Amino acid sequence: MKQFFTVLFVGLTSSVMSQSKFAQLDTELPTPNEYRTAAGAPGHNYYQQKADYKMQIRIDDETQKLSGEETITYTNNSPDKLEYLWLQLDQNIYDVNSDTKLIEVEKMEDFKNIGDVKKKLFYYDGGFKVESITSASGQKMSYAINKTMMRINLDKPLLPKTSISFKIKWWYNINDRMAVGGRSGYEFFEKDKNYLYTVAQFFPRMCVYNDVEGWQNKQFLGRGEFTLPFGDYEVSISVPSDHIVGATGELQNGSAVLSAEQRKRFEQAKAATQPVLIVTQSEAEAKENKREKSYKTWTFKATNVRDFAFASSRKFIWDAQSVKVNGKNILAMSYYPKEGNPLWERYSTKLVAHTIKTYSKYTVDYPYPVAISVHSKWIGMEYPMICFNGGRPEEDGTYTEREKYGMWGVIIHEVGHNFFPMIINSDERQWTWMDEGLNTFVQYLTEQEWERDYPSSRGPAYLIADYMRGDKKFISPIMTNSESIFQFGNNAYGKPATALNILRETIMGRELFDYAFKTYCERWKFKHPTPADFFRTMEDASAVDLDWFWRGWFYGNEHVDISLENVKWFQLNTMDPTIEKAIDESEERSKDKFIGDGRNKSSIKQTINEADPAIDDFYAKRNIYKVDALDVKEYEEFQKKLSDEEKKLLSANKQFYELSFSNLGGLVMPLIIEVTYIDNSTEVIRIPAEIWRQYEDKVSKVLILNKEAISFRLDPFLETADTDLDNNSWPKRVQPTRYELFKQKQTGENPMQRQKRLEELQGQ
Amino acid sequence: MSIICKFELSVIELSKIFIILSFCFFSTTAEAHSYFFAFAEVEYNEVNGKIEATITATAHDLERYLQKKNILQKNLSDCTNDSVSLSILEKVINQHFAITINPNDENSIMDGNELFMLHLEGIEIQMTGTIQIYLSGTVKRALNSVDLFFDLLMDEYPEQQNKATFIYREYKETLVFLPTKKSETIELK
Repeated sequence: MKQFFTVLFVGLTSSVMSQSKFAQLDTELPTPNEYRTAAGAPGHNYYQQKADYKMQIRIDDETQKLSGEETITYTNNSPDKLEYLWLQLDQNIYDVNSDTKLIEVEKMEDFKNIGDVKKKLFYYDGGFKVESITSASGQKMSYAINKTMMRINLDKPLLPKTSISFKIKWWYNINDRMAVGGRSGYEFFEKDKNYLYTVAQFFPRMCVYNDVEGWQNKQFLGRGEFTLPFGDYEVSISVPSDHIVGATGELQNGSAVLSAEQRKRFEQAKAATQPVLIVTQSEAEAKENKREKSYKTWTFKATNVRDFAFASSRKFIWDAQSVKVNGKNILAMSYYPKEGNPLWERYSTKLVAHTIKTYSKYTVDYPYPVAISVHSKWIGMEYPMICFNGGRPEEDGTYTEREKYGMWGVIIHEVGHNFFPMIINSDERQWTWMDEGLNTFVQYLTEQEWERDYPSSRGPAYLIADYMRGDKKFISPIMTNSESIFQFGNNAYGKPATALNILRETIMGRELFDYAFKTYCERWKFKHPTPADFFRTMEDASAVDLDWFWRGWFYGNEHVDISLENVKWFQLNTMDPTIEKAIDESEERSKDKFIGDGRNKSSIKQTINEADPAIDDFYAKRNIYKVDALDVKEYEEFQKKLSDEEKKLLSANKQFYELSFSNLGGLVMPLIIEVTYIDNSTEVIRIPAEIWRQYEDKVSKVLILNKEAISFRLDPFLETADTDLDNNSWPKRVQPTRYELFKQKQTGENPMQRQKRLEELQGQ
Repeated sequence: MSIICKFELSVIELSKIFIILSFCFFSTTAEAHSYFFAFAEVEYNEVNGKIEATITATAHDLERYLQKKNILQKNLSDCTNDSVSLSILEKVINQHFAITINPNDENSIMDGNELFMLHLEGIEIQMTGTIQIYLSGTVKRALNSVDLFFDLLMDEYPEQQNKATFIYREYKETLVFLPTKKSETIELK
């Protein structure tokens, strides 16, 4: 029912209410300083340490044992004197006394079958066996191992702008990844008795020392990954001579480890825009039964990387192609056993090329000479220039569409990690979201450029709604340390990716967002950014106050549920008696009538006042809807007082709608309102989130429209992650449940049965 | 074969646990894995007197779970029209997702709890990597108090967290389930 109103001048009183959701993040963010500016950029005295490695590694294919010797040259670029050095011993997570096992919460119901008991009591002799640590001159150095961390004690402090070199000798038993799990390890192929090694976290690695944490020596418990300084690597890897090795960096001794034919194909690949096979499937298969006993040493060099990983197997098929990023040729490569085909030969290297090209567009130009995808059943794990990815077809070579998309997604994601955190080198041990979340966001952009309407599993706002609703006690804010997160994937991958998508599509717009995001990446490439550096840069480069957004989406755990509670309709009173009285009369006539009134009209033949004209007085005789001379005069006087502009406004037939909203979920978001007009045309009105800045629970907004509206809908493009769409419409429109949608589309036949029917029809 | 465990502690009551024989073995220790969730949407349809539910889970988590437990060795994508596999899946789901309608009169000892089997209506595999499992079950009494049990995948993945949104008339609430909190009660009075 529409209502009419007269324009009045009234004084408004404003009540002071809480503005906590829009409070600036002053207390949450660290104070800017000479190392990190208030703008989110590296400060004028920003520094970072450097760790260079020279390593000799050997894999014993008979015992699956890795032994190594490394010389680390550590350069102290900080202004501080360092009394000791901390290194990471990540393999110690497999030590029998590992905290990771001890901190598992258990109940007796976890021991339901003998497999559960066996699993709990399983012992694998993992962990680093450190044999010696010596100085460059060969002197023994003292050290202390604290679970996954090792402190090397220095005879005298390492002064600013000085370096120290020392040697470590160690070995460990490589984990059977299929039994023990883990980010790296080996897979044994029962049929041909061969091993495929994906090797990482295999050497004692320097911890980061910086202005934020001092030494980042938080123990490795399994989830929070790695925080590593940049450096240069030269690594020699001895493996059986029929193995093919892919690694971080560029191969230095191709002539010693590759055949002439392989070298020829390798050179061809450097100029090819399609994958070129360097080792074919038949060549790889031919080696499976021979199993060479002799060893060869492959040497790789990598500059300005934060880590090193490699893969080795005689089962490897190897292909490569060139991809150009901003005029520079990069070699995209894949290593996979025959078990990965036909998926891997068809897609892997092309996905690598597409990923580094697309990420370079949104972040920074890919700086390394190679980018490698290695097939490794089940997992997805990232290292500089190389990553290990799942996506294995069935034994008969068939695969489901889901497997294909799963493989595509994991390759894009893991190759994408080259940018986050391998180049934009955040603290993974502390903040999973800084690499996983940002990477998942760009993964979404990259997937959408790979195939139109790619079914991305994370990114679009509506996909996070299920996760965000429910008891807040069990939903962690994004700004939570990796080890304490509930629903790791949705929290650290999905929610930040969604948040960035919302910033890009809804809050900031693509131009402002893309510029600011790229600014962050450029500022922090080959450096160590923190969350504050990201938050500040995004504001600094866009002039959009995002503190409320970071507070709600990153520091909070509330969800989005904005309800369109009520709509009231008004029109301006024109003051023209011929119009207004006619409308009043029409409204009076259209009112619902009491049943007795209608029956009385026929049952009562004549009332007393109808029979006796003397009964009716002035009030009974007057017609309140009739326009009289006084009405006309008053209207003329009113018109004289109005300017031409005011007269035009009064006659414009504007429609006024007062919409009332409730913030049920707590997380404030813009109001995106789709209006459907009486002629079925639509319009979308966007109101910034700041409408909630003083009144966080309930707000109202008057929309002044040129046409009558018949309905209003909140969030019509599913861009705010609203968890309850049932309260988004006026008139109310309840969304079907998933079950109802399933029932509606059930036809009783599967797609193949339908195809069969179609073929029968076409055959007739 | 069963194993009897005996605890020789005087202050703790002796318990004997019977462990079934199952040699499936896989450790997820230290493996970065970004999934481990299941969401259920449960609605009571007053028109047909049925509970209608959809469970959304990560397809490969469920697939690996079923394979490791030696329950079902097939790819779930191949099960959508396989009645034998669907029947097995229905049984598994009913073991790990249960709805109990509590007595209407809390003083009545005759009016026991109503736990009913959910019928698996079908499954759908999404290209985003999730499986949707559609279920229904007829309710014989008015809903005043409902117990929801939802520990799907929790016995294999310690980090699993499940959520169920229960819809009844104007009531809509999302409940969280964890390995330490596998059931919840909803009061609809």
